[in-house]
Amino acid sequence: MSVLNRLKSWYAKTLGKSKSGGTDEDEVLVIGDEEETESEEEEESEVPIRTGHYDSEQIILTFRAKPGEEAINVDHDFTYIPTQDEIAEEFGPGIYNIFVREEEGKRPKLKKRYKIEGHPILPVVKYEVKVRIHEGGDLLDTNVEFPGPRPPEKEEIINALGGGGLIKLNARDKDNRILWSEWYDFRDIEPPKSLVARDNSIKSKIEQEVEAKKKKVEDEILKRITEREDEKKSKFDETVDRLIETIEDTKLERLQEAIEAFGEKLNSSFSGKKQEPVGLSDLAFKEPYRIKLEAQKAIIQNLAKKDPEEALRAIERMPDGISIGLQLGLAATGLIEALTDYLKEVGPKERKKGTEREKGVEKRKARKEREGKKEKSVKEEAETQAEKTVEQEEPKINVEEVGDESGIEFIFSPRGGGDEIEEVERE
Amino acid sequence: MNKAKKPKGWEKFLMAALTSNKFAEYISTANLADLLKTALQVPGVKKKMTETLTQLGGDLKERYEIVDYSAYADENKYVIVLNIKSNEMRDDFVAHFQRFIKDLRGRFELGFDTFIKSYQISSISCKNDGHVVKIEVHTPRSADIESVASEIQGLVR
Repeated sequence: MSVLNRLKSWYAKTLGKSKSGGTDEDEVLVIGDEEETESEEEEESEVPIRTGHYDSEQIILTFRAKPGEEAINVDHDFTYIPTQDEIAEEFGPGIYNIFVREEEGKRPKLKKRYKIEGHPILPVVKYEVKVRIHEGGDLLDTNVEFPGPRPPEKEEIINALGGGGLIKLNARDKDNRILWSEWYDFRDIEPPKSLVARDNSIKSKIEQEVEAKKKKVEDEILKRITEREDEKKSKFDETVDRLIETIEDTKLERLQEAIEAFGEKLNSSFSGKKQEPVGLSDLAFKEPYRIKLEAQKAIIQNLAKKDPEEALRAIERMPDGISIGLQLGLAATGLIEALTDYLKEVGPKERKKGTEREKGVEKRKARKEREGKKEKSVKEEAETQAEKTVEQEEPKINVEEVGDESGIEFIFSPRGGGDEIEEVERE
Repeated sequence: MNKAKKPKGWEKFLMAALTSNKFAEYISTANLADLLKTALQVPGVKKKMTETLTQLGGDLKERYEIVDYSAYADENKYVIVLNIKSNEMRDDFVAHFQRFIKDLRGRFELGFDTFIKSYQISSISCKNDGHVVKIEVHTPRSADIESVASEIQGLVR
């Protein structure tokens, strides 16, 4: 950096021309570290910034609203190369190039390029405000305008309009072209009455109608929900009260005692011993059926010991229900398996060795003859047992009917004769 | 044997149950009132029983002009006293009771016998006793019968 330039910079600062970005520290840097600064200036990437050692005329700042557009020079007071934040704060969004003309007559060199996102405000001359009262309604012109380049604040717009609504802000340049537009939703604030009166569009009316109905429905729903909540509260309170009353009621203890006593009584009624409770259907239907099955099983087992084939045939001849029941019972004792094994052993021998079969038959015949009497007695015993079982199931009693002038008396006695009611006329 | 109606399906089941030794053994030791309570817990039984008993009681009361009735248990008998004003009606009731017991035995046969035996009922009498009709069930288990009767009264009430 030349001595002249440094002097210029110092002069500018002293006269207060410098931008606020320059600090005491910057000045120290410039004065005390000049060699280093000099060498850094040679490379674009290491350009010292905020050092305040340029004349503002040496720094050329250009602006584009968007890529491809013609660049315009921006007036500025920077005596150093400003940061992106400083540019954004001062001039707003846009594409900025910063050139530095090191010496008179030489071409300026590009030092920095900033692309700041957002609506550019720099070329904006004025902001015009338009209003839409309802969504879908007419866009109404207003006479409210704000000078550029800085866009107006919300408060400023509302104050100027005298109300809210859907606000459209048009940013216009010096040629009155719209650079950009932005919508702001200020519908939480009542729109100005003068504008509402002008809003006669069908769309807006429909919108208003729909809005009104929507609000009505919403109010209705809210009302119902609130009422239900009230009801719930009252019912809940009632339930709590009842619960407390019930807990406090000593009758509950008595009820519990009664239930326990009843349960014990039911269980102890079976032969005076405590047993597992038996259902009525078990007592009425399953138990008798089981007893009959047990009796038949005993008969079949006895028969199977003497004549397995006959026993197997007997099982097959039985009705389905009994057969299944018996088979289940017998399977437990392994009798079915034993019978099947027996038949399997006998079958092949019969086919392969006829003589052996004959011998076997003879042997069995001889054995049958030997055991004939014994077997007969066992069969008789089994039959007797079955009869006994059936007999036990029929506790018949004798009924003697004694009648006189005053009425009738039935006298019951254990079975000793016929089961007909004997009619006796008592004198 | 007294000619009776052909038993229905459920009656056959009941007979099969009543004819078993196991049931006889059970009923001879069980508290019949508890058994009745258990039966009443079966869905629909209580309703059906209440309806039947109420209907039967109403019919009997109307048919035989029963003014009121009372019941009590002695040591060896359970007694029901029916207040029937007309002598003719009292006689009619006695005749009705006679037919009822015969019909009951005819329909339930062994079941009836088992019940009588299990409850150790030595006799049942029904007599026109002047201004009232007295039914006496002679059994040492009169207390059990009283508790059953109490349960039944509870249903009809």
